[in-house]
Amino acid sequence: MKAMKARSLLRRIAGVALVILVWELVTRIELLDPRFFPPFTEAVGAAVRLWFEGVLPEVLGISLRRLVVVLVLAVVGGVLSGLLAGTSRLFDWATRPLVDALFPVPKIAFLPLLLLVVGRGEVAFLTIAFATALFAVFTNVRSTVQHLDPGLLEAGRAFGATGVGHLLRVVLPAAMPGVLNAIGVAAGLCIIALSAVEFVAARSGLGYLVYISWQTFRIDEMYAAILVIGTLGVVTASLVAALGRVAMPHYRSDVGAVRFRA
Amino acid sequence: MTSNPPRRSWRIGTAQALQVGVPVALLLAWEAMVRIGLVSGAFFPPPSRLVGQAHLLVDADAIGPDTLATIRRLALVALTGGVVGTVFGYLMFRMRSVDAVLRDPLMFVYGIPSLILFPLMTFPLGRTDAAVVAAAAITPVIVMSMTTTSALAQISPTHLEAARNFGAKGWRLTARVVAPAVLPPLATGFRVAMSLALIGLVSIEMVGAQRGLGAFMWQNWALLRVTELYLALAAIAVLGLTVSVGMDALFRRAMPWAYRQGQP
Repeated sequence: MKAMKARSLLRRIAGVALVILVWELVTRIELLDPRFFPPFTEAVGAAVRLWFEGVLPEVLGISLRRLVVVLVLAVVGGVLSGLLAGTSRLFDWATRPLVDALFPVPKIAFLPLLLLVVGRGEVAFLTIAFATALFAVFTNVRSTVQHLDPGLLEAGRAFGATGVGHLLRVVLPAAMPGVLNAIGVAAGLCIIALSAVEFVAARSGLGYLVYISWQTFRIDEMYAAILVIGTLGVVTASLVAALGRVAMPHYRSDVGAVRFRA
Repeated sequence: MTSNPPRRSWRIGTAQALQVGVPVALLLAWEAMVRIGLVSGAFFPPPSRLVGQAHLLVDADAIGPDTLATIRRLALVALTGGVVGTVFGYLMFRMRSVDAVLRDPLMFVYGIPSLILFPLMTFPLGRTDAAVVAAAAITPVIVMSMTTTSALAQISPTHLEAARNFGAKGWRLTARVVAPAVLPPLATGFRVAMSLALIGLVSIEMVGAQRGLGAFMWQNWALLRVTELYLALAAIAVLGLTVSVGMDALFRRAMPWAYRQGQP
């Protein structure tokens, strides 16, 4: 089992290494226009340079702070309201049409209106990312709670669980895999929304670094910023998966790693 | 299993009252608050005005060309994502080595917003429509290829063996066994892919296109063309609902076997 795991990990590392090697070779022999396609090592070099110049720590810090604030608020709000919608039919009926109508709308489309109403500032940027994450958490938790094993709920009731105790001691633990999955999905979408907003409207953050290095034609720095955003996504997903293993040692699979659900 | 007709009780009445009542009440409240001057009509045009001006969305001198541009691009992204993604996923399924090498890099790229990848597309393609469509198609292609490999891997071996024992092979095996097993998950993946594609497309249009609903909103928010902004937003909402709820309804009708009772 362990040997198999190690071998599969080795194969994955080899795969990534191969892709990087091909990128390096193709750009070194200038098969692709070297002005637009720098070798991998140059992109990494630019990232290191930006780091020691202090640009990258600052920009990354800003984006991370935004991400954490938004995600924490969205997870707390989304899990609570999702639990409520999953257990109270009245609340579900009252919110469902509106939520289901707004959920598939790209939240970034609200950005121009928001800029108009609240001005170009942090509130507008964070609201877009927050709404994106909130909807993802809410709808996923709602559907998880509505599809819980009725046997579990009944057993809880039989032991006298009611009200808040029922929610926190029976429903929430039973729904935990779904909640973790919701957090994983929300984190991914939140990074997407946040860097898009930073690219379009903000004058700070990783998305803005991509934008400004594109506009000023510092291509290696642009690639560096893109690599950092991609890494941020991978790291966040692994963190959520690790959180899942800590929160639910009784489940073996990487619940948080399931990402293909919007 | 017999299908249970929905139980009729007072609860159904409450459900419908709330489901219809709450959105209607909110719209009425919006309208009323603007009418009595509690909320500025300059920023929140009342629903009645929006409905009255809805024709601007198809007006050739207003938002019409932008609506068309976005729909056209979305269709191109759907086509690219569907075809390239499925073919690519099939190749990954058949060639395990390709899968092993590309899976992690693809997941890496999947986590990067299409808008962030748009500058890369402008290098070989220029600031053209092709670059917009190509950038917006990256995420759908990845989602569709991952969906395809997992859908193919999940075909029930029992079904395949039974079909082979009855002498099904080649085209008949594909049409009668493989397709019914693979199409429902592909449809779900396609719906997810298109929802993400719309997010990408609208945001790319904001910075990378002269035309399109995203471009229109970005060019006009500072000009205070608020009614038009709301209308463009409503058009994007309709597109979003079409690729989620609309596609869902379509697939349910087209593939009834995949949505039997008790299944999502």
